[in-house]
Amino acid sequence: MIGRSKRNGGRRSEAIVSGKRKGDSGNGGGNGIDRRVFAVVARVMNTEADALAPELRFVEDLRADSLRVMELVLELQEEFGIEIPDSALERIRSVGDAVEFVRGKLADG
Amino acid sequence: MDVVVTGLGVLAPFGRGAARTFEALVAGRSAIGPITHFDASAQRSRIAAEVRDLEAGNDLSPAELRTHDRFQLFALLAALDAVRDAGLGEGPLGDRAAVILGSGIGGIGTIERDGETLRGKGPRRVSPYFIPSAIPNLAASLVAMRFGARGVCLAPASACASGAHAIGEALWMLRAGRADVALAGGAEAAVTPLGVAGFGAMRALSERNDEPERASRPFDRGRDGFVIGEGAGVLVLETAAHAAARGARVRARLAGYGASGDAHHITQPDPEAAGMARAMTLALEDARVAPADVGYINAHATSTPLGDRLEAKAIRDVFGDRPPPVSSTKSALGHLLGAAGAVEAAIAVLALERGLLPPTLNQEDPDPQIELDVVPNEARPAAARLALSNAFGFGGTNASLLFARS
Repeated sequence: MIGRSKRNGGRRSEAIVSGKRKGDSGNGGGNGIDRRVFAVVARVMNTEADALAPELRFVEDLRADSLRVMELVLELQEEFGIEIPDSALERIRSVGDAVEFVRGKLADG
Repeated sequence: MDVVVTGLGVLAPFGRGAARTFEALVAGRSAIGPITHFDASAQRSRIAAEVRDLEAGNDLSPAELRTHDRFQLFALLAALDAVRDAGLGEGPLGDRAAVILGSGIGGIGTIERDGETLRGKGPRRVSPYFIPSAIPNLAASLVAMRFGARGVCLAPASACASGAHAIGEALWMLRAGRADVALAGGAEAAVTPLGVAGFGAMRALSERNDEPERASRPFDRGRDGFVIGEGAGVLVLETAAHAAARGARVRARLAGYGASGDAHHITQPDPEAAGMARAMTLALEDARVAPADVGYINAHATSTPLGDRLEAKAIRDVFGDRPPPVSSTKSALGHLLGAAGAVEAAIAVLALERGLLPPTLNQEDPDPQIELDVVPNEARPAAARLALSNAFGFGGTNASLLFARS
């Protein structure tokens, strides 16, 4: 079936293409948490992980609408088995925010 | 005010393209085979006319493919083809462009998937795209967004007559001066576990699972139910003045529309077939033509024992002892439900244009209760001037569209 299950990145927005820093900066820190967050963001935002950078904001830079942001939250919860309360959404505005949030959540156990 | 057809878009089990579909039909090919979209081994009916490849090329973005329900993607692709066929260009169509695009069920595949998520993982895991992918009018809205069509935007939901009602209502809207151009049609993607199980539970589907190509046999004595299909059809309709002003090629004139209700039963047609007959009569009266002027009828006939017999009766009641040739292309294409009326309208237009009537396949054992020339098994040249296309839906809702050769 073709539909939401199709994972097919590859289309970059201009904002992404202009991003200079590589997302997975090779440190693999936090047990690859940042790499996994980048992969989820890339999938949801229809881009490639190596086009992402921590400072890129979902709405302003990656042009996500509110539904896309909610989808991202859902996918991050799935990927890491965590709960992301609505009250935390204000703090998760960029790729780096997401990495930080997930890392903190996992550290809290 | 005359209304003309200037563009055809079809995405059907034979692939993408109205001409491709028509050519497969007149070649006598069947699009019906075993279900491949999911494991159908426990279903009563395990056959379907599936769209195996969207052939979207660069027409849909990865985000669109990932986000929208299949019936919405079908609608977008058929609309793109129709707009290109009409030569309307890529720019916004503006405030005087309507989109009337129906669906019988809407995003049933999405409803099934998110239903499983709800039960398996809880309500907080349901996708934010569940509602937009499920609601039937989002196909119309996505098409409107794609083409900047900012006029009336709605989705008739009249089961298997949705696509035909969409086209008919667009005709009236254009005549009333509410728009200059309309993208009208229907889309359906219900070849899903729940869709097939549901129609199977009604015993509406053919269970001739071992002979998929012979399963859909409208009017034949051996018919045992319809074969489910999927796809979309979109017509570009314009006022004749609008089409002339931009030098558009006119493919046909949409001359008449008749609609009626049986007010009888949730799924069975009125046993006197009066509602079906009235839809056809109203379409003829709307176009101010006599029954004898009609040269071809593309029947609704889905291959169910009762429905086909009643449609044949209705045709005899309207057209008398010498009805025009009648074929059911569902014999090859399956039943595209809410898309059927629109795809078959496109087929009727092509039959007029090419002077060729597509056949009813699988005619082996004529039913004595069907007193019609059903164009059995082989296409037939015929220079018809007017073609009627019927579509009837559960709930007793009937639509007939009359097209005139341009």
